[in-house]
Amino acid sequence: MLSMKKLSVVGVAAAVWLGLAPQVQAGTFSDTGAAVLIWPTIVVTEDYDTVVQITNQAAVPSAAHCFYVNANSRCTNTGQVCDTSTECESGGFFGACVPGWIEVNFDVLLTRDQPLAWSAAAGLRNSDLPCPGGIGNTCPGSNAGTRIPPVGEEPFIGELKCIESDPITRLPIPCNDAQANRCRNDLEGGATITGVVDGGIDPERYNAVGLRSAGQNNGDNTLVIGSTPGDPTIAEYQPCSQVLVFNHMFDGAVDPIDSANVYTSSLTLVPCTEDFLIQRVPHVTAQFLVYNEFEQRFSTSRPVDCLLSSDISNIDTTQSTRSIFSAAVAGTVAGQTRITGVGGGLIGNAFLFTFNGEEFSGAGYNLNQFADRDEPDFIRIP
Amino acid sequence: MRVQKRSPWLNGLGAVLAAMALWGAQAEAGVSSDKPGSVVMWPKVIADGTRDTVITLTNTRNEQAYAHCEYVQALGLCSITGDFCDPQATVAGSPGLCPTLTGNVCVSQWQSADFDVVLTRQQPTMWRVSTGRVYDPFLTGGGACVDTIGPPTRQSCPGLFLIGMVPPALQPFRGELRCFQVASDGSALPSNGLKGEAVLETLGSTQISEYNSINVEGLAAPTVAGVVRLNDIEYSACPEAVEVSHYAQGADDLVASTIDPTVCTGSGCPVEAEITIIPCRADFINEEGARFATDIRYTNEFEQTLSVEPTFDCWANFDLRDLPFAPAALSGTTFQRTRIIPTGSGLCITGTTSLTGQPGGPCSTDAQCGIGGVCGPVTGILAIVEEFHNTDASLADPPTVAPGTAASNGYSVDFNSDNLLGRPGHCRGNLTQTCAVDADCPIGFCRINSLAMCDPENPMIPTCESLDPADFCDRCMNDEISFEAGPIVVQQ
Repeated sequence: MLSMKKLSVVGVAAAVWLGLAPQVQAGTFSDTGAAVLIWPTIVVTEDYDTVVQITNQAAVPSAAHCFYVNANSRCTNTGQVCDTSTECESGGFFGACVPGWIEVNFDVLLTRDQPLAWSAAAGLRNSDLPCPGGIGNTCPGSNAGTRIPPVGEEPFIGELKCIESDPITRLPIPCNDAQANRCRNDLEGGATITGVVDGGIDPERYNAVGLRSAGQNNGDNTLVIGSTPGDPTIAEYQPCSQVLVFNHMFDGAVDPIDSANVYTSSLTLVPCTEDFLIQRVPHVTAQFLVYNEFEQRFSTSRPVDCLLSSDISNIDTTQSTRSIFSAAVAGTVAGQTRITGVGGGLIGNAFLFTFNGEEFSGAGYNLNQFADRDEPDFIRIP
Repeated sequence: MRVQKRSPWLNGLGAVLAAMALWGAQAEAGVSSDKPGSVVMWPKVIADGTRDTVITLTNTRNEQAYAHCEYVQALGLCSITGDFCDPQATVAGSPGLCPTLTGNVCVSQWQSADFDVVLTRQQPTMWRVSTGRVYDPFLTGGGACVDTIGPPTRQSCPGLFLIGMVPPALQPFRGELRCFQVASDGSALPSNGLKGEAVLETLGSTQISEYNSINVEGLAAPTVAGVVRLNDIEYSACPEAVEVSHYAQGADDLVASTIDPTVCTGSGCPVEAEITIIPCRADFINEEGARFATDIRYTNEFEQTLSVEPTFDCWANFDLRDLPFAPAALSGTTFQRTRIIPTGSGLCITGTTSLTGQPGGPCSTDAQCGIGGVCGPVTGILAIVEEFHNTDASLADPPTVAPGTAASNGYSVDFNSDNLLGRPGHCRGNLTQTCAVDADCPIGFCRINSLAMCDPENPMIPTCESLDPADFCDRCMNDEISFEAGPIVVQQ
């Protein structure tokens, strides 16, 4: 039996522990199987294409209902894809460059344990499906029912979401971990944005971000991601994170390995909440807290209209050398940026680039996260 | 020999804290590359004259953080020619083989070098592995580091660097880096404030790969000083298995020839993949890594599967060509999933021998480990993958461009379908029995006095601490990392 003294020590220790307590959290996962996969950055341009990879972790077939979201901005006068309004000149008149949001959905059927990949620019036609494989077919299973369209246009920037689904209803499979029909987290994914530059290949790879099941799902067309404590809404998927933690090099910092190279970074953010049923464009404000190696803190915010993809030194200004993400302003090589979504959760990924005045290449990586959102996000599908 | 301090009532406190932590842990904790943790691991760190690495380490909490870090030099070198090699390479023509010469065998090593890092609240920091970093308070901010005149070359970068210095890694260096979050006295502190990345760069080019550090979440205060127990009670357990998805061996890049056919005319633009595996278990006090056997299973798009079962010595970094899998040209596949499962019955974690006659080898009982031997469960493993995208120009002799490189973290797999990602423990004395907590095992044995039975809940059985203050009771065993707990000292 513990003495009172020891009990009080336990109490104090417990209190201290709670104060220092690590927040064990659910959040999103980029390194294990999940029920929903999100690729925040899909890019197709003249020089770049994205190889999308999806793999079935399970020893039984799986199906995914997927959505390409075309987030190209467009000129109001010409309808052309644009980055800024200066590109929207026609007949001496300028239109506005406004964010766009067009969704296209399709199905992917995976055989047991199967890895599958495709070019975003080309898609995957019936004749390219690995299973059944025609003469000399070795596949016990079949990808029949899979038809992956190419992305809608070039250039393209957007995201891809895939939801583990019933292949017939194209809705999530009803499940309950407390009963026999346990929920599944079978999908894992990645993307390699691949470019050809000066005779070499520039591959930039990141893992897809996954939402794991929360242990039950009613199988309807509204996916509930996290829940508010005390609210009767039942979470079907583990919550998005409260804060995204983004480690980066400041733009313009000199590469410590080769001083001929200069670093730049870019960031892509997409909202956790999306309504594919009524094609409502989600709107979340991202708040950025930026720390340099002197422990100095800067902040800014920026709306995320469907998708934000930007060099980090263009997040807060169009003049990158004046940015709080610029090495000239921050003063150090490495930085930490904490990103909080206001009005909804956010998911993202990042890229680091090196440039030596002639050659250019990059690397993709995933963001970290801190704490769970205490309000639910929703994905509504047709 | 390490000093381990335990008291029986600390067990109780640990249990209370563990229960509290678990009560709060509705969600899956885990070993993760996208959440901060208390043990941070970079499986692949290279500074070998062809590539170099920039490590970033960040404190994500609003309090000062201390980290005790260990570089592990695991370079394989051919004994006569001195080439880099892979001890597991057996396939003719594989890049890991030593040149054919009598007595020219691949010799790998496992040698650790430790240092500390201090981070102010929310502070990011970075250093180049080949130079380390030296604090220079007079360096003006400008986003550029400055090399000192060497050799050895050191580097100073703008920013606070309270520890004063991170030493350069012994070169040439190929291995891993682990950092443990600690208190100022050097004892392990599971407050989950650390995260990091590694940027691997091919020298003389702009080619970089980046991956996230693999972070182990702390769940409760450690009950044995200097021992981080990855058992889902004190720290998250390693995954049951890991897998990576990548181009099949030598498969042509799927899109490069479409973007620019001229770069692939002669070669087809083949992609090679390199997998790096580290064991979760490590003993930095006695300078022992963990040997591990694996079941490496390959599945391609056609559902074709193959498996091999290589044994690795503490760190593995192999090209797919080192394994006897069919190249893409034969199998007709472009992508594959490679699942890696730790196998074997057990691993001698103390003792003078094993089933192979060497300490630290395989076992299934304590007796097989010799005098004072303890047969623990096989180690869990972690992995990353890196791809090398070639073109005609990168394959030319000499190459005119560097291969494109891209790395990514591996995926944890719920291999036994128990809905948990962490691997279960195994009972001391009966490793075939899995367990989650000590109570799942009928009896325990002391770690140092390995023949003495123990049960902290049974007052009739003497405690291990009564036999040796540094001893403790093993019941439900899982992965452990031991390190010397010493006060953080600022380097001059």
